[in-house]
Amino acid sequence: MDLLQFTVSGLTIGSVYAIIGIGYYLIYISTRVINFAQGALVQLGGVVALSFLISWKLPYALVFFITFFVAAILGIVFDKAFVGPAGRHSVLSSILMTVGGFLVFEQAIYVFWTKDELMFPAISGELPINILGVMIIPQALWIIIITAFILSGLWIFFNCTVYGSAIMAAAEKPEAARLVGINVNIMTSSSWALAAGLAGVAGILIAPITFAGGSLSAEVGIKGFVAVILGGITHPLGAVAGGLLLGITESLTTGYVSSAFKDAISFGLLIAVLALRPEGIMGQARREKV
Amino acid sequence: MSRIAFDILYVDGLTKAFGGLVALQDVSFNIAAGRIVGIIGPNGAGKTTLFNCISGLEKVTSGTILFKERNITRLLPHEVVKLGMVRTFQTTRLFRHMTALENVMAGTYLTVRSSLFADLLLLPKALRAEQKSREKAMDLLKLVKLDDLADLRAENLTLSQARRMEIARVLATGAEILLLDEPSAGLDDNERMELVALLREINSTGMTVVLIEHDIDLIINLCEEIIVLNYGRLLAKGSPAAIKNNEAVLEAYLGVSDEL
Amino acid sequence: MDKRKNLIWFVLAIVIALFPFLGVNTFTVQLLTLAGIYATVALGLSFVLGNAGQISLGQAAFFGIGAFTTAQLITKFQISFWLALPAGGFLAGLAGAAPGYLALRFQGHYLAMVTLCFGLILQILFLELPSITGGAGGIPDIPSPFILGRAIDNSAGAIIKTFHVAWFLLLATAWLLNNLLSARSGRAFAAIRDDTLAAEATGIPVAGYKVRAFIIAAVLAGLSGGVYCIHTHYIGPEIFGVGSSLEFLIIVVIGGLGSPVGAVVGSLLFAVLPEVMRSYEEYRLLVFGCMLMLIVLIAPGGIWGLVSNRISKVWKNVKNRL
Repeated sequence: MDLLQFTVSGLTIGSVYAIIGIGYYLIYISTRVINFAQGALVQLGGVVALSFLISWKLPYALVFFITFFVAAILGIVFDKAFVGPAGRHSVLSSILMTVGGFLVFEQAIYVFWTKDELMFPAISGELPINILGVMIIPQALWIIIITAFILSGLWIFFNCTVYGSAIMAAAEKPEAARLVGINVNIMTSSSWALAAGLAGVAGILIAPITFAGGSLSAEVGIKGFVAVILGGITHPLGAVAGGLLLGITESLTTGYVSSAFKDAISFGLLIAVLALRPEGIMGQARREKV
Repeated sequence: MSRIAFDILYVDGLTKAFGGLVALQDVSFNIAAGRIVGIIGPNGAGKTTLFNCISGLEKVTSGTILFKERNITRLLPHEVVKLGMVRTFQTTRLFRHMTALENVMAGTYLTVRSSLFADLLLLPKALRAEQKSREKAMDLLKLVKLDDLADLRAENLTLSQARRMEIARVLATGAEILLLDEPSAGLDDNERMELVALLREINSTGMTVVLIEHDIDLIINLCEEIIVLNYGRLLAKGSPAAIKNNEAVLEAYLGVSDEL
Repeated sequence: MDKRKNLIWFVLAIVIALFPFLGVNTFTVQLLTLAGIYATVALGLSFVLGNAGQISLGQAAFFGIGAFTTAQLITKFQISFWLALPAGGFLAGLAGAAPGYLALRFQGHYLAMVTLCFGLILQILFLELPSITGGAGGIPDIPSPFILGRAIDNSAGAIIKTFHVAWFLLLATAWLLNNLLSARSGRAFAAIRDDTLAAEATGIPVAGYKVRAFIIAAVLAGLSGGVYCIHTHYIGPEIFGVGSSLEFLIIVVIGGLGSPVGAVVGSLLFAVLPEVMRSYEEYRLLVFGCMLMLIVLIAPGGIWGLVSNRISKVWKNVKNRL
């Protein structure tokens, strides 16, 4: 029964990794940038949502949408005003810029909100529910349900709507997209907005478990990257496969090996996967042109 | 194909596939030392891929490459250079933040030795190496007539100057065979003539020169031997006169038979 | 020309030797000692980023390896600081080969992420291997190397000696790096940064040089770590985390990538500025983070890039008028 319990908690945290990982994926395919600030956006999502919930007393469902839009706008501004222009200097500049962004977002939280980890109310109830002998906290159920909802929403968006397919077209073949009249700039911004917004939402989902603020959610952000690399950053389902796999691996390591080295093992896994199979589990090997 | 003792380069059954796409199929030829050889073929014939395979930039799918009787099929690019074969690229590739002189000095990396340790402590060995490298690079810049621009940053060189500097840089490696990928691309008629003269001069010192070219006149005028590739296969190999009259070449490569 | 260059190094050595005796208070000397320690790490990182064209987001890990090695050798094994220091540098260099080999497979964003993860792994190991690093409690009471017996010495004399160790280490490593960059190996690094493929095709063994760049930077960080532990007399895992790696990155970028002077300027700023605006302590990293973003955006050459441009312009004007 332990195994099942660990798998469920792995799926829970893995779902959050998947949502964050999709953000890395969207930004990477549309601008070839790995956004190091993604972790800070997760952190920011939690803190912003907490303000809306506690100080403004807004309903939980509304907070999801507002936080999504706040983070999305931040993502667009960050790309248009900073990362994009820096990328025109060099790859190193765009790396430094997203690292700088991480630092500024994180420090802004510490300075303007709090350095402490704050209790964050769960969506409903704290008492674990017994399902087939597995004890599940309601928040874990919510995380899995909302993730499934978001993932199917994204699938419909990218496959069945004109706007969604335009984003994909602009990311994969910008020249061709331009020729058929797609505004690549707007689509790139949309990718950043969606990625940042999802990071914000992930921040709300994880906050009742890890607390809002503090460096924990930033670490969850980096795990999102590990997830997308594990799964393959060029494949749309890479983040999902990688996220769930990473979540379960972590939860099994914590249960059977050692919780202290859980993170070290995840990061080691990342390096190993990159070294042995750079394209990830789902990705296909591509030829580099000399 | 028979192998002659003084073949400097011998390519046997070279095949290169990218996934399902076969870029080179069973290409075999030999190049005698001291020759000046042209490689022609329509776009996509596999000319640059051939250079990439020979110089170690791409792993071959099957086949063997012998250089000076040594199997170099699986060597890394810098190891191939060390043995004495060096190449240029279709687009000029400069160390753009360095001066022309420093670019050529970078080319002397293999021929003028020093060590990390000597460099760190600026030992006499390092200083001597620096001096020697500078002299050698200066001589080569004179050869390609760029000595008056030695201190100009490479990014400020014109295309023709940059191409000549690249030739000086590859010569600095102490190579015995040069693989030049379209050295005349983008040059005007005058500059082409200068290039031909320069390549003749280099060849006259015993250097083997292999070049990919689009300019048929230049190739026929300059080369002793021509290799024709088409759709990844070797179509013909022979003297300019023989190639000029080769039916298959005229048909496949030129399309119109009476153009030459 | 060479003679004039040698003169500059000689003058710098004299300035460093005399500086603490010019009536500066011990607090300032200690602050500058810290700046000197940072600057040596920054020198190595600046070399990796600016000269070799690679990236490392885990440099504090090597700083930590040097510090823990030196501190353990001094405290547990009673070995002299002067032997422990190079041992720390050596071990850090050995560990530095790891990201060096990773750099053979990854570039750009991927390399950045991989080195970040490398730093995170070591950060966890520093905390979770108490038998080696002292765990969360770290290693306290690291004695001064300058007095007989094994005690912490906070006299002005000891503080000045630590200052000299830090700054002469900086001067020596800067001299060595400068030599390297002006010789054959330096050209190889510059060639790799400008065009890796062309460098390889020119016969430069790119892989070997990439690994070397990381090893050199790791050795510098390791040696600085050794000096750091006798400066503070205490080291703990929190000092060598990814946060510190990012701080070293800030120092290097703000000061000016690829320039030894830039590394020193950045370090001085990073050590001194917080002291000047003490009452705003909590804004420190926010301010530096904003500075990082601004510099990347409008002045990629860093502060030293701006200043040296200005100096050379003024110098030209003066020359023209004479």
